[in-house]
Formats: sequence, structure tokens, C-alpha cells
Amino acid sequence: MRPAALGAAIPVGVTILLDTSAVLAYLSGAESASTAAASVIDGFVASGRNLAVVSAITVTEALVRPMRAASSTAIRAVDDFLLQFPNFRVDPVTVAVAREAARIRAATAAPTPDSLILATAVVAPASIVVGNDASWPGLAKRAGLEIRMLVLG
Amino acid sequence: MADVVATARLRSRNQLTLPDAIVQAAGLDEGVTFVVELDQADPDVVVRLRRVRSSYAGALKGLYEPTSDYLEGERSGWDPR
Repeated sequence: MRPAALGAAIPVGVTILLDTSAVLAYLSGAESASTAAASVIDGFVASGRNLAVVSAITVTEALVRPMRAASSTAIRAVDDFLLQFPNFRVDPVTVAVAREAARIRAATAAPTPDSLILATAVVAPASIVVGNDASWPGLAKRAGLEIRMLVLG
Repeated sequence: MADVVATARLRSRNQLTLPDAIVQAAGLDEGVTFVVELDQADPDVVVRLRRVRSSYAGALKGLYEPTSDYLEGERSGWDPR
């Protein structure tokens, strides 16, 4: 997506949830969705235009590869980005999130981590989920979610 | 390359001024943010400052690609065996 289209798709002031797919595209910088992810995060979130939320599940998913590689530099980069970046917060898997995830999974048979991340957006609450999985808009519709899905790639 | 070492003294109200030699060697600009860590396991290195980058875009290039395969692998770990 071009920056102008992103600006129209993400209104000023709304809270967004970043799926792990968007976070990884941003950290990678080498994927088709990387430029759009950087526009959202370095443009909209860093400036305070939009508050970003990620699930604690994303912390796990983003850290497995750096930890498996025993790369202290990569681990530190992920930690600093997820925990210190401005206008950015990590939401835990609370009972409310777990319960909503069960409802989503029961309604759609979505995988548990996908359901937990979408449920985090519901509970946060976030108006838009930003990710890179083309199946999520349909998934959100089947789950009856009133949250908009924005697919970057 | 040799480490740049300088001293700084904590003043009233917990204020600390970074020495010029450190600021210049690190290329620090006004407004840069640091993570301040206390390492309780190492009493000789009480406090560590780490610069928070203004962008992490592409910071881990080459680590996850293709990210869709990596993420699919992580999420499939939840599937029943």
C-alpha cells in the first residue's frame, strides 16, 4: 500500500493492533510489506498519530528465532522495539482475551494464536488490525468482529 | 578500536551529564532516548545505558525471511500432534 492509501485507511487517532506478520515485515525490511509496515510504525506510531498495541503472543513469536540463533544483538533489538518504542504497548493475554479468543476459535476454527491476537484487538480495544495475512479479513467477518483488517502486502 | 572511557558524576535530583567524549564518539544528538539498566548480578557495572533507536525498520534483515514461512512454523507449533 502507498503512504497516501495507508493514511486514508488508518484515520488519525485510532488505536491499531499490529499482528506479528506486520512486526516481522517491519523488522525484516526485505519483504513486500516492509515499506508499508515502516510507514505505519515509523510514520504514524512514532509520531503519536496512532497508538499501537501488540499481543504478548507477538513477543513470543518475534523472539523465538533470535533466541534460537543465540543472538544477543537481535534479542535486544526485539526487546527494545517492542518494549521501548514510543506510542506502543504490549497487552497481556488476560482472562478476557482468552475468553474472547475461545469465542473466535469456536466460531471460525481459527488457530489459537490467531484467535488470541484478534481477541487482544477486541479487548484493547483497537479499531484496526494491521497485518499481512490475506485470510484475516474473512476470518474477522466470520467471527463477527467489528474491527477492520488492513492487509499490508 | 579502543573503547572510549570517561567519567560522570551523579548530581542532585539524579542528574547525569554524559561526557563530551562519549557524546561525540557515539554520535548522540539531543533528544535521543536510552534504556537504563541496573545489573544486580554485577556490582562493578551498576548501570548500563543503551540507546533506543528511532527506527527498527530492517534492523533484523536476514533473520526471519521469508517471514510468512517463519510465522507459519511458529503458529503450527500450537497444532495437536
